[in-house]
Amino acid sequence: MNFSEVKYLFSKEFQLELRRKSGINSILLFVVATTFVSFLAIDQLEQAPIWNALFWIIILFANINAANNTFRNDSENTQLYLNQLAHPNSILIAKTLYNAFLMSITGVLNYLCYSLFLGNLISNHLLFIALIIVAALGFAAVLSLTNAISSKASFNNSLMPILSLPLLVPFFIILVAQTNHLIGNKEYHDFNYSSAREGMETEIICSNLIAQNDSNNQKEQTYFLATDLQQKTRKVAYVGDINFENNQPIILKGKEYKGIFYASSIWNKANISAISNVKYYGALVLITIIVLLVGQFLFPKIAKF
Amino acid sequence: MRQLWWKIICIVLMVYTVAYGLLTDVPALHTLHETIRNLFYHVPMWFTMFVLLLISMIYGLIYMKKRDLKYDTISTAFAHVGCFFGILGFVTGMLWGKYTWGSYLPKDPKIIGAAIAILIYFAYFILRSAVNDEEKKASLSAAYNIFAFVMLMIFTGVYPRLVDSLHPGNGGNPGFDSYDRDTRLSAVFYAAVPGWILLGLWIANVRSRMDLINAKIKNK
Repeated sequence: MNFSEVKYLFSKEFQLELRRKSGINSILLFVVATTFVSFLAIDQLEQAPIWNALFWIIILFANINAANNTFRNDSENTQLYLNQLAHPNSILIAKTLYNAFLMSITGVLNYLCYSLFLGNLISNHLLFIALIIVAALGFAAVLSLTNAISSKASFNNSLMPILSLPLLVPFFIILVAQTNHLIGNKEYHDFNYSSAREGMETEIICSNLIAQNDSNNQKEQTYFLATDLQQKTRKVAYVGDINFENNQPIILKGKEYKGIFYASSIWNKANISAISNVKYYGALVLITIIVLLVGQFLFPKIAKF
Repeated sequence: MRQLWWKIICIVLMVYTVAYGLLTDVPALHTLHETIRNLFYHVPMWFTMFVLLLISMIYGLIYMKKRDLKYDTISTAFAHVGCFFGILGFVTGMLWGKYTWGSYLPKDPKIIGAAIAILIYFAYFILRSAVNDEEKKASLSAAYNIFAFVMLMIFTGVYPRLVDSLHPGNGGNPGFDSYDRDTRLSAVFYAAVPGWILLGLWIANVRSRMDLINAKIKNK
């Protein structure tokens, strides 16, 4: 890999895009259209899991659309010519960087659009934009390589999502988890207790969760004595195995059945520790670096065709 | 790989695993009870899948080095058999999960990892069917194979460290260390692992030889 080569190839991609403007415009249209369709169905999104899922689904398909033309924009003759001028690794790096640039713009614009139409649940905007940009690098690394593979095959339009979707799942698991952390500065946990199917969905704000051991009930081994802050009463609540380290208020959502509260989700108003952020962002960067290295190894071997 | 001795070892180990695994006494553990015998079947199937997929990736690397279609055929055969063992492991795990966790597919990092492994290799087979030219097919699928295996390794290496799992040994559940002290279990388990791996290698070996002969007939 040669930095001056990468610089020239990157500026070539950039200038071509500025001349055509088809790539960026189609992605913008995609993002605005999908968020608008979601807006037609839902006015304001308040459930964190749905906010999270919809946001990343839009990003995923916008990015696959964006990367679909990475190698097909160049005709076969142009590719041969480029291969004579530069090392394949530089070509891949330049394409990856360009895709990362495009995808970060898509991500940030999607975030703006999404906040406008469907509401914003994120508390720390800077950290979330950093997450979008780190994710864009990772997506670009994976999608450029899969596009290089699929552009050589026939039926490449439908092949690209098939090849890249399973490979992107590791990213999405980390992204979804970290977004859950960043939403409203609350920690989100999800539980499903079968015994809580009856009754109305209620929400209580409580503090002082005291763990108790339940010897009668084998399946749900621990329950908590929660102090309801509004009614000043104590309640028995099943919330699963969670460590409550701070004394800050906790919002429990769930159903009450025979005097016992079964939580379906917990909102912990704790500040997210820096260590957990470092862990998730670090994992993303690590995966991206490994994917880039694998791409550097593999791409020269398939660039010949 | 055409010698007889390792096949005999495989048969002996498998007969021992299947027969003695069902006959032996197992520790009566809470909620697990007799389902703990799944340790002899479910866990080694995953090990076998990983070994077969690793060999498939290594043959992909060899193909990239030597550019001989023979290695590509072997690589694909190993991926096929590896996928088959993955599905077997998935089904045994689902059955076991129904009776111990109460659900066929709870959300668990290892289950997600396994499902993705199988999905990735399905994508690999689709890629192979989408390319007509043999040389091109071989090198593209070898590249995807290597990439897929690296992603799989990252996934199984990084993700389970970020979250808790329901599986034994994670998230406060008793792990294999505590089972190891029980000689009744380890006596079968340590025979089951090489037994299943050898069986997987045998199937993949037969399959790759069959594919090589088919390719030879086709080229005549």
